[in-house]
Amino acid sequence: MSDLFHFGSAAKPFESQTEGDGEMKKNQYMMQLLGFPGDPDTLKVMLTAAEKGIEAETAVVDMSAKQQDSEDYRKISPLGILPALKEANYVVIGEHGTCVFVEGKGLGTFLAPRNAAILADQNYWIDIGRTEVQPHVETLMQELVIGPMGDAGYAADNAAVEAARAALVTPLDALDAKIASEYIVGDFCYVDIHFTAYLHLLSVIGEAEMLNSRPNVKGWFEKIKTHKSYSGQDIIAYDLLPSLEDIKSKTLADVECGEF
Amino acid sequence: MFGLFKKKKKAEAGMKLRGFPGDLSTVKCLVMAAEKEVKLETELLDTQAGEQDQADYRGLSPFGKHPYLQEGDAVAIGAEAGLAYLDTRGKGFLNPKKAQHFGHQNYWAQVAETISTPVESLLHAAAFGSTADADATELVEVGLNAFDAALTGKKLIVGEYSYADVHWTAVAHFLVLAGKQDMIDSRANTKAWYDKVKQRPSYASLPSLEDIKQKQLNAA
Repeated sequence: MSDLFHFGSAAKPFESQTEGDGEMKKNQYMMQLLGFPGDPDTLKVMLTAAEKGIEAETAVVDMSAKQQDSEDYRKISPLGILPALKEANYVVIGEHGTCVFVEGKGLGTFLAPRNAAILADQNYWIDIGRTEVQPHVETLMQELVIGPMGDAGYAADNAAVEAARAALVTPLDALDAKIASEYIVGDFCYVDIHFTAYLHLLSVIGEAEMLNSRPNVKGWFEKIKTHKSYSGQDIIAYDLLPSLEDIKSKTLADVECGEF
Repeated sequence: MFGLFKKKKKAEAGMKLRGFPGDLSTVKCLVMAAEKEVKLETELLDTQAGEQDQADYRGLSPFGKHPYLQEGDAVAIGAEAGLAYLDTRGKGFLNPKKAQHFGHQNYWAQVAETISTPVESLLHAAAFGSTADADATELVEVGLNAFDAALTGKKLIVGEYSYADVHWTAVAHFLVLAGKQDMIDSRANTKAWYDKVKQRPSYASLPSLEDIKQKQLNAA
């Protein structure tokens, strides 16, 4: 058994153990994220961290080798849910919990709308994303990218690919009709992070036409690509997201926010 | 279940929930409404008869999501939206203030959601005589094992009563109605937690097996 969180800063001795005044330093509590570049939930956490000015070191749980089912990862996440995040002795698993933890530790105003009706609207669209969009994005990712990564002779299930493409038409049409203002439910909030992850993955795996053929979705996505971090840091969260090459080479960027 | 928000006084328009007593999402909203002391009128949406897929309902909820909660002009569709709306409109807030607790609350709510299909499958077998999914018991056991381990040394899931307890109260209630109370009783931590939430007034408002068989959704 090995500790999957033993990487980056965690694999180095604290400065207080080697030099200095013995005080703990801020960067000694660096967040560590275990995830996969082709996993939408991992990308949601990275985007949230960048939006909130939180830095995180990352390491890959290789879904192409089913590492999420390994004994080492199941020791952290008993049900194999990705991603997992650690800060000091605290561990939280899954996008639902990890995003709010990161947000709670971050900078700037809260991402969730304060008005009850707008909050409900945000959560409804998050729910639509999770149930009507994410499963089909994951099918396309598995059949077109992750499957062949783990097995050179992998034969994509073309029927599943076509079914996933067809299933995305209705929710993406609904999203296109929904976007009437700058962002999905008005101001930038969590639901924009969710759909950024889905649509980015669609765009890098060759399905960009699904976005480009819908003018409101396309306009929203262009805005997201230049959206400056909510935290006031001079970064654009979208720039952290992996390219197709990054996914194939199992490369996940660290979340770096520059000087505070 | 995201974030903190300001309460806003609203005219007493009355809140109405359209749902089904054998639907976990509906029952989670009933638990939340009772916990937040929100009065709800109810109307049956017979999901056993496929009403969520009929044109009139799809006109309100294009993807068939339910329950459907309405207060004046405001609408919250599905558990994710409905729970947040009820929490915001009702007494106090259930989201923990501490980031660590907030994170764990949402993780355990997510785990509860991952076993919602098998839990409903077991309930519907008991209530309507359908055949439960072959792997339903096994999937629920996996979730309960993780849940029981997480409850070690705790009275409630993340300290104070939270959204996570709302989700798992609905799950536990359905398991009991499905005749699977042994799945709770055989896990000491889960049993102690269940005995505690069962004492809360919100539990008394939940539908009985007979209510579900009769498709009776009582006002909260």
